[in-house]
Amino acid sequence: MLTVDNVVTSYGMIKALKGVNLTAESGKVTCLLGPNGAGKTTLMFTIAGILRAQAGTITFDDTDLTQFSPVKIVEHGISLVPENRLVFPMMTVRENLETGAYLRVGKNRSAIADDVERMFARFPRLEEISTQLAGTLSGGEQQMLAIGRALMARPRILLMDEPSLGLAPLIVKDIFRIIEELNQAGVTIFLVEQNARMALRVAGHFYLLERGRITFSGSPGELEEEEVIHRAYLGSRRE
Amino acid sequence: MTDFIQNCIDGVMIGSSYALLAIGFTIVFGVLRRLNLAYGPSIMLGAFVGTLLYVQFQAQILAVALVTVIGAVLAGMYVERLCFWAIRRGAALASMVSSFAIWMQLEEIAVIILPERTYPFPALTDLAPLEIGPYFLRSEHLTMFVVAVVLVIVVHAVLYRTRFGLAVRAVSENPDAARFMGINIDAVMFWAFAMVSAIGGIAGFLILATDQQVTPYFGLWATFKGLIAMMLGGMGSLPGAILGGLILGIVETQSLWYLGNDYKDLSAYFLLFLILIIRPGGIFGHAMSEREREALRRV
Repeated sequence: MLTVDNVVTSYGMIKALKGVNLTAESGKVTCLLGPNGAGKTTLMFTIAGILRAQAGTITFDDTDLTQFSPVKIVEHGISLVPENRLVFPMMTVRENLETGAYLRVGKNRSAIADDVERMFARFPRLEEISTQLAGTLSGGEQQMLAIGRALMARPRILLMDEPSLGLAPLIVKDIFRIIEELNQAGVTIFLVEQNARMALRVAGHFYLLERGRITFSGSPGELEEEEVIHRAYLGSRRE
Repeated sequence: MTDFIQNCIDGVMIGSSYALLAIGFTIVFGVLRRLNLAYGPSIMLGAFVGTLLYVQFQAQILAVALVTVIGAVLAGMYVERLCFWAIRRGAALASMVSSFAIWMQLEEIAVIILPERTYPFPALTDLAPLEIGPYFLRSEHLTMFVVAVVLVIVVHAVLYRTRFGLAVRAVSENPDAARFMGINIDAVMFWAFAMVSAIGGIAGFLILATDQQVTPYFGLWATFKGLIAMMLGGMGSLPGAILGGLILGIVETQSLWYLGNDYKDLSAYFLLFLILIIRPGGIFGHAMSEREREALRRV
């Protein structure tokens, strides 16, 4: 279980996260919704160790991650599928997958090869294009690759930052189908999204993040979908 | 025609050492997205320590080679810590300017070690040139060429067959994504720098053993040759660095023969000028394969 407790993160003078509390339970899909600039990606980067929390703690299965380096966080089984996918454009699909297992490369070659085969079994499309350079893939294929690459680290929790961003509606459906399948296979997922409608369908629990604060926590259905969508895109109206 | 071909042979041999210098620049540029102007001077400092050993203690050629390479690597690490590690990402200009300052510093250190202008450097071999039909092949040149080919193969193997190489390529393509994979970017940059300095040290040793003399200006010279060769081929491209080095070598030997010594460097600059006008990104900067260009466009 991932627990974010009262986390504050700033860029210089500007506080992007003003004390965020949330938990992502093992085996579930937990979703964080919110408009642009609410601090969703900041939270992801703080969990991944790229940004440092100024206050608060982040714990994962009783290990305090707050002061860990990004390398140690990956070692502890936390993998990020970054916003905009960020595949390595001039590497082949297979090489991209191998970078995902970077911390194990050189220690056990056959295990990595097995994991690549497992990714190909899960995403047959990736096997068909395994020798293509990742930059030549379509957006949906790149997203699939980014997910596969993160899974290559054998994570205990998968952080996904806006996997639907910039994809055609049909492809978005595919991506969310993949998220459901991964979850059924036992992968814990913490999903950050703007596409509230799709996210609510897969989420077991969801949070709303607005202007650096959690403004709602509950299960889908507890809040009217229209209101969630409104607040996920635009934020609450000021009183 | 015989002259022309002879010049081409010499040019390729000399150009192979330029190619090594250009590879050094291009790898650092690829990984750090910054220029290291102190690359030549750090090689020069290594060579000066080697020369000191040779002049003072009549050291063996292999010892001189070893000390030159180790000296270049240590100087390179020093440059990396000061100009690149200490100055964080995003400040490319600050890094370049400080690498220029370190250049001056390294030259001063060299002058303190050995205060005269010119010092002898041990020759690699005293074998007679090889004769192949009407053509001559200097044994130093042949050594230079063979070592360069071996080093290029080694660098390629390191980049495409090892864990470290995977990390170097990942950082070159996208440092942010590399970090998400658990790659320690600082460590990758440091060791890439060390590797590149070792390559530079070897190239510097081979060049100086051919010239049989060394001056503090070797640093300037090596930075110039490496930069020009890299820009000819296209920044950040490994095949570009090799091609750029070879072309530079050939153009220099041809213009030395046909136009005289005064025009040797001028011709090289003119060529660079032409290439940058026709293909602003260098030869391989634009002549990337169709699939690579496609790959970059989509991202």
